[in-house]
Amino acid sequence: MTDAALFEVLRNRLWAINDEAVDAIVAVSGSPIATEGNDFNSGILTATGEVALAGPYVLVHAAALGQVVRYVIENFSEEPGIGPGDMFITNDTYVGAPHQPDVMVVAPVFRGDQLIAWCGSCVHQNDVGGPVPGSITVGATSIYEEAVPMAPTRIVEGGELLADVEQEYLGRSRTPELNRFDLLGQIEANRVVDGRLNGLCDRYGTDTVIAVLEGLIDRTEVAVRARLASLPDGRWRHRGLVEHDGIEDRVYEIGLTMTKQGDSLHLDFADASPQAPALINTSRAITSSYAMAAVMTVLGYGLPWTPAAFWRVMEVDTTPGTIVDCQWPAGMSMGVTAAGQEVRTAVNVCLSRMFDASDDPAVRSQILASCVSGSFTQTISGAFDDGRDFSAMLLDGLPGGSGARWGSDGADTGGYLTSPAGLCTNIETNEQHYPVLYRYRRERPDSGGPGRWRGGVGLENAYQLHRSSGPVTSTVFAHGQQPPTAAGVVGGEPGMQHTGVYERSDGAIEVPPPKQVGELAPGDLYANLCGGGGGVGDPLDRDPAAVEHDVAEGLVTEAGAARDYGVVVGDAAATEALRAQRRRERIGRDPAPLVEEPPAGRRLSFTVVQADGHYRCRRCGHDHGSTAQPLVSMLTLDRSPVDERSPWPSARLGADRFEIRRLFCSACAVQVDVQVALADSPLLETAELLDI
Amino acid sequence: MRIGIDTGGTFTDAVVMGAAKGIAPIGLGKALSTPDDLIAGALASVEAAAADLGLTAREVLSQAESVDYATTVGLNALLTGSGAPIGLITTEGFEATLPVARAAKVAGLSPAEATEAVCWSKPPMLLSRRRIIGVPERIDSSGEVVRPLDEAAVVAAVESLRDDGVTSYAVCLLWSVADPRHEHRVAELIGRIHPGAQVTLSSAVPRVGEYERTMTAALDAYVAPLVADEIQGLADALAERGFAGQLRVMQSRGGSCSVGDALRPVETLQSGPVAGLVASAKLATALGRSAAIATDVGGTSFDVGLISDGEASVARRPMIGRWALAHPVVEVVSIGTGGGSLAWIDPVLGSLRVGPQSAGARPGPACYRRGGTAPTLTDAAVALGHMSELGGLVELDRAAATLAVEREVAAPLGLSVPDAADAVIGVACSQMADLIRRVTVQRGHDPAGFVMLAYGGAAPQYATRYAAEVGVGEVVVPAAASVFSALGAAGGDVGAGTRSSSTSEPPRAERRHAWFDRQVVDCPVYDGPRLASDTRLEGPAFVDHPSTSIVLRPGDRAEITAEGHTRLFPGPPS
Repeated sequence: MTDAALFEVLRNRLWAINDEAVDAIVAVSGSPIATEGNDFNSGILTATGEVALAGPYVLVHAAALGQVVRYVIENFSEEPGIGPGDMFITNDTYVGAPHQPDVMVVAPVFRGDQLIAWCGSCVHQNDVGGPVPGSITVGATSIYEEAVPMAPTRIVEGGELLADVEQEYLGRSRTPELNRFDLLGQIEANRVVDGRLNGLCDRYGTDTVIAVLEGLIDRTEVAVRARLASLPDGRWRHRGLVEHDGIEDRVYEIGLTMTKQGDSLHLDFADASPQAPALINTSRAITSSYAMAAVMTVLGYGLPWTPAAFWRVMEVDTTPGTIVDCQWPAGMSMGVTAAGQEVRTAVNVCLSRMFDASDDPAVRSQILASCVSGSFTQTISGAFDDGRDFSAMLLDGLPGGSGARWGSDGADTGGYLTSPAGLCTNIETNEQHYPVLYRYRRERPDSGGPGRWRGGVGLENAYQLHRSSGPVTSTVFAHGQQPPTAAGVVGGEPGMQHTGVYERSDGAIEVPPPKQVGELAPGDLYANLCGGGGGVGDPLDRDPAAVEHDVAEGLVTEAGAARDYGVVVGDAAATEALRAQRRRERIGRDPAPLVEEPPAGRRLSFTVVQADGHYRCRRCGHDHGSTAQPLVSMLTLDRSPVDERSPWPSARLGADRFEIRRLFCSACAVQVDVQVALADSPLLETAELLDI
Repeated sequence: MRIGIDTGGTFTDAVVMGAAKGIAPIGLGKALSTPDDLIAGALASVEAAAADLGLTAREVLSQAESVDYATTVGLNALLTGSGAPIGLITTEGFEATLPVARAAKVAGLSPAEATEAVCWSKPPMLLSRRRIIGVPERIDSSGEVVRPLDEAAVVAAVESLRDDGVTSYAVCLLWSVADPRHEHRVAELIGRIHPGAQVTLSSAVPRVGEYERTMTAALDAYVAPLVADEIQGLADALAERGFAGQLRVMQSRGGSCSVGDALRPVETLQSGPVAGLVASAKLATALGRSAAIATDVGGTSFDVGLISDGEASVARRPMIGRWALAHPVVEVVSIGTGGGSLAWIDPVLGSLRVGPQSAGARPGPACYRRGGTAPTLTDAAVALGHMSELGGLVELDRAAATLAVEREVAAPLGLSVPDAADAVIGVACSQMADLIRRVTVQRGHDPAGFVMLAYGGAAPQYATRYAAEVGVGEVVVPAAASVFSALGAAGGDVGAGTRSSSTSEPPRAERRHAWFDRQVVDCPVYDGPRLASDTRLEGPAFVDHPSTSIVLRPGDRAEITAEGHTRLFPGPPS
């Protein structure tokens, strides 16, 4: 067979083998989160621990496999040694596990005594021990008060499951039976991959199999570098926010400066707040995994999703002791949805801003605003009236809105970017397993970030206890309740904030802080209101017919249409008048007329071009001023409170710490950028071209 | 007599079988499908099948006790968006079940779309949110009524949907699987307020999980009026031609359902492929094999189904297109590798890829000379000389095929045309083998214990190659391979008639030059229908049938059975 055909045949076989590993896990998994929500992943790696392929499930898990394998190679190669039939287990977040409930089992693949590859998987467990059911401890002051992670440990030696290590692992959990099923599934999956890869070596030769694994990475890397080289050189910035660390309602900032020069990508997270005591941090390993997952999904359009190829082109900087590079004994049992999601959003947004600077419309069609970030997750535990105990993590927070794209609205209730195949559970499934009765599951109008293209709306769920007289412990964790975190791009607005709401049986409304261990009593209603995705483009540019369609479908209210889009439903003249008024209000005078042809120069974005050392408006031709000054300092700035669209943020003390900053061309009033920030922080120069 | 009809995208097939049990005279008919008037195509195919027996359609129909029909009308409606204007009545507060779709944004997308985040979207909803109305009511998981049904609200909902132009209703209330009484009451109220309207209740499918149940009910309501019209139209047309027997429709779960019984239109959506598997199950049983792998290579896809213990296996998470289903569906797994699949060089990986893009019927493969210039799997086979005509209908242009393979595959890779063409077939067959492993090895079955069946236009061309790849020892190409699904619809015995036994000396044959293993070989070309039973053949050779052609590679062996099936014994993997 020819090389080109053989490569294709083996590439397909490798994917089929990885699918087979996934089947082996799903077939025995005892974790409903894994099987109903697809909260797992599996991958095949090279002998040096580079991830050649991984499934479309949780992409952060894929990158994490590489980190764990490289740790094992670095630390165990000599002592105790790595041999055929060995497997290593870990949920150590400092090594690479996304959070402690994510348990990873990795295995070397040997051909005789030659190490030819690695394989492994990551599966979310219901419980891995620690002070509270579900192993996510709100209020922990260090990792000692969370589930203390298990460092990479050999659990299978020469093909034999080590009973003592198995006992040490399972003994930590409140659900040892369920965890055991997953463990056996993960071990079996590794055996399957080992057997199949050896089968391929029998038939095609060991060198060929190794060459295909490495070729996948090398060839994809060439394409990723070529893509980067074709994109403009520049620097883009974003500042993510996480409020509340589980102990106090402090605000943590995560600044990213992304520099693209030539064919490499530098992600500098050095400017981040000092680490929190526990819960919301990410280790450097998790930060890198999240960054890679975001780079692959956004920059990797139309390319093979070969994780290692994307890993190779990016360089990540962090400062030890910060929220994105926490140091022992900082905890991070929920960092995966806190700092981790802000890392994803930052990378997503900066890449889209880079696309916006491209002269190639095909590149700009890939502009994508941020999906929901940090929506309310809840674990409940207690007992049924018949005495049975239960403990559950509900996936009702998953279907927030997806980000809008240049040319189409975001998927409504589409969920997270980096878990493409993630699913929420049916209500009937939840009611079958847990003592709950839902009151509604509906789309949340006006939650999608306004824009020329609208962010997807989020989901609202509410339930009461049913056949349980309580008390039931209800633990919530989220961020983005006060500042909206699903950023818009190209002048689009962020998606609406999320919140949880208790409506007590006496009618009292309680809005919990974004991290809380609370209680649910019979008759209480708990509502989970998910945030929406970010918008793309100036909302006043949205086709009024699209807004009216959204109103008819119940995705935007009539009030929202007027407030967010300047659209008076059913009245084109009134819409035009209202939009003109909005533009006047933005800059305090009549807007300048638009030009037919944008001024020549280097494109910075849809609204700004750079020529002869000046920034000029692409819409009206206005000269903003010298590029020696930050662009943002020359635009008209409006500062608004964060609760203008939703009343919920102000239900918590401290919402006034944040503001939404809108930046307009001071001549034609087009919305150039929208930033969410702490009120006392400086404006962010979000886009900047590098000198050629 | 029994009649089976299978309406496909291109052809409508019919079989007429004698009343006598066992092997009986059988008539086969084929007619072009008529998408605007499927009944006309169905009648034409019956006419052709009758003519095959020297009879008229009326003679056959007036004697027939049954007609079994596999229809594509519902599927066409889905693909073209031409279903009925539907309304959905659900539990108040849960109107978003359908649009939320459990947050599934990549399920059912092509591999290319699945790795492009800007393509991610929810499955199409089939109706506007304005036509989803919640009514106050609630039943819990144990079937207890928590909130009684507000009948006034139901009346108002139906009136408003009716006035909005809805003609077909889907009703899905939470936990109707535990107690369907509220759904039944809603149906009664619809019947009173909107007499004659079509109503689908989700509780017809007793499965926990409101999304899948709602989606299934909506699909059913969407296609039901068209399916009902079509079946009524066929019943009338058959009656006019003297038919007084039972008309039955093939269902996704496997069996046939008599018209007028509890026929669920949504269960006709996959009736064609399912009929093929039903026929496969019968054939496997007739061959004395309880386990079989059914394979079908069409123009744009490769379909695989599994028969175990004489029954076609059922999908774990059934879907149609991007829609999740609640009812059991005979499992047919597919990939986009078929005769029309394009061969191309991956610009990133440098590898030779086949599919999933297809040249379709227009322009079709280069060798059709209908304007296509891009090489397809069929072009590779034609360039090698493995086939020369398409079911006696289309002459295939070997020069055009060679040119396409040369330009798009051989030249860029620096290969000779035969090597390039062989590589295209090799990649395609390895993808087919991967899919077969997926339904066998990955579920703990060893393919070596299975007999493989190869039917549909192109499967017999590639069958020994992909069978050898997965270690299957025997492939059977059924005598009626080209109308296999129609045969399955009729629940028929699977032989196509008796054969005179021969001296086992292969008959004289035409010859054709073809490439195998990088050499030109002078190969015999046998006329399949004329081969006597017990004839034994060795590859390299070709066995031509009216609408398919069997390829025997060097090392492959074949044997014709008394029923006219061709048993193939694959040589080693290519």
